[in-house]
Amino acid sequence: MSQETYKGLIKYLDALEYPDSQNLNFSNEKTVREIVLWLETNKLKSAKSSVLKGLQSQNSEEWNKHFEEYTGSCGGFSFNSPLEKLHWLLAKALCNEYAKNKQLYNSHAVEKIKASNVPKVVAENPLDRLDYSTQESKDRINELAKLLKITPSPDHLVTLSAVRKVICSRLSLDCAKNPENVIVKGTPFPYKEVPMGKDFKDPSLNEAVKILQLLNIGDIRDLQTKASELIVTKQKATADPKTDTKIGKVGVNGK
Amino acid sequence: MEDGLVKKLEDNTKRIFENMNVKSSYSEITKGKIRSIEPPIIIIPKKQQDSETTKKQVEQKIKPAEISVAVTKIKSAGHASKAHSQYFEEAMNQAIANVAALPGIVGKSIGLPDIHSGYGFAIGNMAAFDMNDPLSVVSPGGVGFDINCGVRLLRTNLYEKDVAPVKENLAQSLFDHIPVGVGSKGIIPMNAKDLEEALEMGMDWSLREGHSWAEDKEHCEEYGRMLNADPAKVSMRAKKRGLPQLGTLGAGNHYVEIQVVDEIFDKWAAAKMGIEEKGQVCVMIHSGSRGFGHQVATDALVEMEKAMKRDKIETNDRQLACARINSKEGQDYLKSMAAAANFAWVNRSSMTFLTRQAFAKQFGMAPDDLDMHVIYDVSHNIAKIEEHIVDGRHKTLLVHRKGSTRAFPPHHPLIPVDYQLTGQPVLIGGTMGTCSYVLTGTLQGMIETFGSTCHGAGRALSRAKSRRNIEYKDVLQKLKDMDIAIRVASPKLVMEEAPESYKNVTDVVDTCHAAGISKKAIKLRPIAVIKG
Repeated sequence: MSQETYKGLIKYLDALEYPDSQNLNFSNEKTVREIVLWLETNKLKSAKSSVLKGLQSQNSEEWNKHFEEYTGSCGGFSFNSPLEKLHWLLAKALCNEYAKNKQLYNSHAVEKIKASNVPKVVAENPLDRLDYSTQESKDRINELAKLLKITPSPDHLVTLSAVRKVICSRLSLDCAKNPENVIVKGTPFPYKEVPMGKDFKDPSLNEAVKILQLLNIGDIRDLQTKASELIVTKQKATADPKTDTKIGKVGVNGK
Repeated sequence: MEDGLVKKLEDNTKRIFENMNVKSSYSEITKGKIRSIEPPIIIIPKKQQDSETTKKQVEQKIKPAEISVAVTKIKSAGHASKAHSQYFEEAMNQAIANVAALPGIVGKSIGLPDIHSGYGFAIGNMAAFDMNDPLSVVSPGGVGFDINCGVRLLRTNLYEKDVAPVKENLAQSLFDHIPVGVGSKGIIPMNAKDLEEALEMGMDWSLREGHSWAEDKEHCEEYGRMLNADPAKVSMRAKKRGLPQLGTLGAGNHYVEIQVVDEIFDKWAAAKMGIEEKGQVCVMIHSGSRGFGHQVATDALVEMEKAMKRDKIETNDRQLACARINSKEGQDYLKSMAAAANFAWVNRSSMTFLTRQAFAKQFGMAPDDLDMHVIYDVSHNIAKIEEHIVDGRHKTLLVHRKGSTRAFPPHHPLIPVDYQLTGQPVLIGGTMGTCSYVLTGTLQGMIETFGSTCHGAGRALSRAKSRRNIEYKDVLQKLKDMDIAIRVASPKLVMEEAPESYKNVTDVVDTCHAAGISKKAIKLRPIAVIKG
């Protein structure tokens, strides 16, 4: 068992307040059987009496069979090992616990904690202490933009976010090592000649709409690529194309 | 014809001739070298369908003679568009007018340049019905029997010089991979449960099973899946017919062609499709939903005849059987039609898989190293719910496209992100031995024809007439003379699909280009054909 799986199981048991959860030996089948029984009697309470009886007879050889039936009745899938089953059962018990006391747990949710800590975070971040409205910061931002060949916007904060975008994508370590992964190599296209569906009777407005259209196309292309990648991942599990020339007829009258 | 109508026709003729600056009559024009292809004709119902009077009248039979005919496309764009609708075959006019008289139709019933006669709607006729009008109808005759018949185009990074020496082997290899012909059976093992899932999931099923690439789905109309499909609404008979046929090409005008890029009209659009220069090799797959779609349509027609009697819907043509969109029969049809559409996408995806296998074997390279990506997959027999702007108002419409291809303009949200700047690719399959085209959708098409354009060459001779007039050996010899490798399952039926039986696809495409409802991007020339 990997260290991570081990830690995961301990974390779950700890959360469920299993007695002495830090000192368990999962390679011992007895431990697993004890935990399962404890989970059912104290937390899940969903087994039929016959199954429960089977689970209670801890030393019986039939135990695994009952365990199988038990996970099946809880809605489990097929698993590779009893530990995977246990992991799944623990997660289910945790879900039940959470559902019971949802409001209590939600009041401790990460977002809420973050929200209550906001002023503190600001104080810790030196950038937040800067005053961006001064002429000096405006000038520096525009200088930076000029250096990176970015057309400055009248709103220096917009310029700053563009600067950030360029630095994060083009000047990152990743990009420096493999520029072809980040920098898109396009082929030219006379996009100005493409009718855009509506004439706004203002050349600069039309130009702006065309640019927005191009940006939109870029976004959809990204989305489509991700969708296709997802399909390919799924295909790895499902695809198994076969043909059988015996059931049909090919090459009729051919040769 | 009524006097009023005759006068209107005369007025229109005068107006058109004035606008085009032509001082001769139609017969004089056609004596010269002018091609006799019509521009899209647009027939507007006499009374606006929104008016209260019309709504009251729809339950009465509307006579085509009461419908005014107006030609709205007048463009002096070469000879192709100079001929116009008034001289269009009377029968075709009648068929389009009959459609224009259906309850709930919005704006106009549109005939595209490749129009020819079909069951109910003419093939090459499109019409849209208002989803919010309780009287609106859906008609299986407006979709056709081969539901979601369509074209898929794959590109490769090979060039004609790489393929030419092994052309015959490659054609044979394709023939050895793809089951073709009447009654052919698929070679992808499937059981009834798989079929149910495929009907519901469309291309998502092909993806799950590994027959498709994730990128294929991106470049497919509707992303290869109609979400309203319900296999439970499909008869057992249809499923029984469909099960063994999944992954087969079928017969008729269906084919797999190896094509080379012959001309690039729009290099930017071509570049977006991965077509760099002339000579690049592509593969075109033209197929549909086989017996499955046919059975779905047949079942629906029977149900709808009953519904028409019950709801007192009268049409000018018995073949225009239809049902109110909101009725049980209408909804059932839409759900089963969507299942048939999904069947067709799985079918084309399976054949894409087999094509990639054939190429991979021939060239000893993986299909992705051959860059065998799907450029696009269009459907030219389908009814879909779409949003359109009609007279400045936003409307939800049920758009019937029969022998008509969707052609959405740049920036339309329903087209793939890669084609946002070019407009939707429109694949126009030629006939055996003739060229095919890739067009792109335009804003003008969106406004004038509900984002629709032509679908192919369009028949000029009926199948029976072709069989009588053309020798199959001549057809095969001609293809051989043109240096096209051909593999046919039933050669004796090949004359039905001979180029002579069809209108010239170039004329059809030029007309659509001139009319502005789609824009030419690429021309493809076949070098090998696999047929049923």
